[in-house]
Amino acid sequence: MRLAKLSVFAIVVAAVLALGCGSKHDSGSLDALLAEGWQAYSTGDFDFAAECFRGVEATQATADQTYSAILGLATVYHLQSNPDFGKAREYYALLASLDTQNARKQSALGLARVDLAEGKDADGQSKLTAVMRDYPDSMEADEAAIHLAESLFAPRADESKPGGFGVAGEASMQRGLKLLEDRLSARPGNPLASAMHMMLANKYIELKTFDKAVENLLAAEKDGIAVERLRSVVVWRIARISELQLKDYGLAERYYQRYVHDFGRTELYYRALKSLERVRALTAKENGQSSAPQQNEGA
Amino acid sequence: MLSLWENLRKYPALLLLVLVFAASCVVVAVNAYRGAGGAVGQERKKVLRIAHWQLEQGIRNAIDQLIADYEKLHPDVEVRQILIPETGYFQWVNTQLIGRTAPDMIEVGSGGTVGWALWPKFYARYFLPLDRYVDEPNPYNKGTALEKVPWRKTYFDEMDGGYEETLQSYYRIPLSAFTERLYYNKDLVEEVWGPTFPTTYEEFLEMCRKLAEYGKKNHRRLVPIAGSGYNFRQFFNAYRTAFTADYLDPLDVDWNGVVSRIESAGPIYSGRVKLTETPIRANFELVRELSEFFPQGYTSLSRDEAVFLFLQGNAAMITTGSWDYESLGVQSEFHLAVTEIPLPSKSNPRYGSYVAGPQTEAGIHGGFPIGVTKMSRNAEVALDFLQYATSLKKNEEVNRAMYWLPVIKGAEPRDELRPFAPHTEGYSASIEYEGPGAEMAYAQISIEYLSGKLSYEEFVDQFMRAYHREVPAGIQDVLRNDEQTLNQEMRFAAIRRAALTSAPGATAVATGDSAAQYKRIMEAYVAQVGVRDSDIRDWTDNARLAEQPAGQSGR
Repeated sequence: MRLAKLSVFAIVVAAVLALGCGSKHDSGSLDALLAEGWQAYSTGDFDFAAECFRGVEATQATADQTYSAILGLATVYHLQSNPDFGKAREYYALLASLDTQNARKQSALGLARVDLAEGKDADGQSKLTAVMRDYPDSMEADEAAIHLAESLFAPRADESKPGGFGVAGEASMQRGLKLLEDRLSARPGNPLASAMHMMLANKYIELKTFDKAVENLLAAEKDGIAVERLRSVVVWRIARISELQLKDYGLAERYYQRYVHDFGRTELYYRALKSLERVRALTAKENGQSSAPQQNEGA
Repeated sequence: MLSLWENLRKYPALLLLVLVFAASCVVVAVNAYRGAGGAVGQERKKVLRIAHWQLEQGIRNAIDQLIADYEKLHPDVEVRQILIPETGYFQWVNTQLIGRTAPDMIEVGSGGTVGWALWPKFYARYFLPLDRYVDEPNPYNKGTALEKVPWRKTYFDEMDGGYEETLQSYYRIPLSAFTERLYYNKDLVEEVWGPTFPTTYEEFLEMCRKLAEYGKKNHRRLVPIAGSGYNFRQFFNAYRTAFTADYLDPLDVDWNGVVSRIESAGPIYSGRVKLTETPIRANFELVRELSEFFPQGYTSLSRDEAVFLFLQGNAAMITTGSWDYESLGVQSEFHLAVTEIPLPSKSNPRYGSYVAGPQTEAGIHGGFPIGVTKMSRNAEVALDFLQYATSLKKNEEVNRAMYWLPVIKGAEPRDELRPFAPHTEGYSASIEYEGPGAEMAYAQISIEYLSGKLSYEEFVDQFMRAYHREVPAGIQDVLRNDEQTLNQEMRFAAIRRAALTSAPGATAVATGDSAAQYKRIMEAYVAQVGVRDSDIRDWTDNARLAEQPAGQSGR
């Protein structure tokens, strides 16, 4: 009897100890557990994130909670530091079985991106094309267009080539350019339009088609660039290319002036200021006024 | 009860265990109570702890005053400074963060190269993203011109110093700004040279010669410049920028206004840019010429040793930042003055034609950055304290007391600090000599040249052999890092996309406007992809050129 009492006492002590050391996430709702999962994912704690998502997936959760948990699991396996593409594919596929439009869109985009990440370019590209076709007015289709173009433009590691890379061929580049241009014609005001224009400008610069590059940079600026630092790059590029490649001194002057006005706290400010003086002098010279061009910024 | 006691007495080990457990419960409870600011006999207060490595008396006192003013306004809050020496600071922070015992506010960004790589991971894991706060006005600016201005817009750099590019979020609240200048011993310079400090490199060189002669004549151990492995770089970089500013247009193949590491390395690797080109050679030769006026073996001297040499009056000049202004002023027994590193004049027959202008400081960001930890129990109060510290009035006051430059628009620095005001007129560096992977070889071989052990031709020959050996692998490393950055951006895009599709949990984690953040992330992603693709194309073009038989390549 005494021994029994002591045993009960020991169990109570052990239970108290165990409670004291317990983890915190058993107290919240499934929403809180999902928030913990996404939080852990955002901070790179992928194992814990997967554990949280699995915890929700295994319970009688609502349809929305199940969607979030499965999307979370697919995303973790896909984008963690050491991806597990097999599991990512499994969960993205499972997402498609949920009867909601959001789940199907995320599934289609995710499966395509897993293919690309695994180097199955043709499969990935065809799935991205399908996303654009099946959900034409969606955010996922806009992103699919960007990833598809990126895949068509991307250089590939190739040990046999100088520098260890093979750059995209002409046909692939043209396909990528057309794809983005078509997308922009179909959905001109889409939220990623500025990003698409910047992407087009990057490629036209690589191809040294500078008039097209400037055309897209102007369009990107018109669409509104959210990242201020990138807007400064776009304004600089318009001014610099207009001056040195297109010899369009009027446009160059306008954009140097804009740069000087808007980006006084950047490293290129003084160069822009000196360049503005230079193009003004060039314009004056073209117009027959007697003002010699200024010396270049440097020597 | 008595019978339980009788029983327990028979089991002393168990009894001991129970007693120890009870005692530790009491200790933990008391500590927790104290940690929350409720020490026995005191009124319960919210305690904020702020850790930093600014140990100088003046800085400590200025922050103490700021804290006292804040506590006067908020009697329910107590703010404590935790001062950790810089040498062990990163390790200390690392341990505190991992152990989840970190203070509420931490000065971030230390730790050299290792720290540089790790801080973004720390921010993501342990620090509060501040996006939702920085677009709201700072309440402590009420009644000033900044009353309705969003907090980040009240900064001279629009709080760029607080923005973490890799995470596309604000994580730091900078309190001060810094620039670097040439400090000199005014008494000594005036005695040897005269009242007007040289404005050109030619005069500067002449003054250095006179100072060296003066030392010899008076049997004093005097060197003109207190150079060290750290300080000499400020000279080198100032002249590199001045001499090579015109490399921007030929090297910046993606026209983004910045010469990337690969845009710089590819042409040097292929020979399109040669280190024997006159502006580059002039850059090295000028620094070698000047280094004759540094202490012998200066590259192995530490920054502190150089400062000591200067303070002892055994060196006439030193380059360092505005952060040292007060401590140098207090410790020196001579009049201290501050000026610019003089550049060669346009009429200099050897260097004049290459000089574009000085280094720009237009791009400097706020420093002394403070982050708020996620484990803080009083994160909102910590943010309130930081808003107080960065209000127009208080930021001016605290920086005047610290002898540092304020970061808030309209806040005035001390008059003595006016020479440190950032210069917006000037250029940024447009070429990097080291090359990815060849940094170690560059450090060793360039020192041999600067110390006179190698001729310029020998330096170029030895360095280029190392360059061809190391750079291809170094470029692969740079590109791998680029991939990691892209992957990181996609991770954040995925959370925003999940939040935009109303996935429960994701909406709670994604602070701020998810649609706007998603657009920002995708723009940054596309820009980064563009740089990567352009860098690879540029690198392959140069690698192909390098493979061509000699005589077919070259600029």
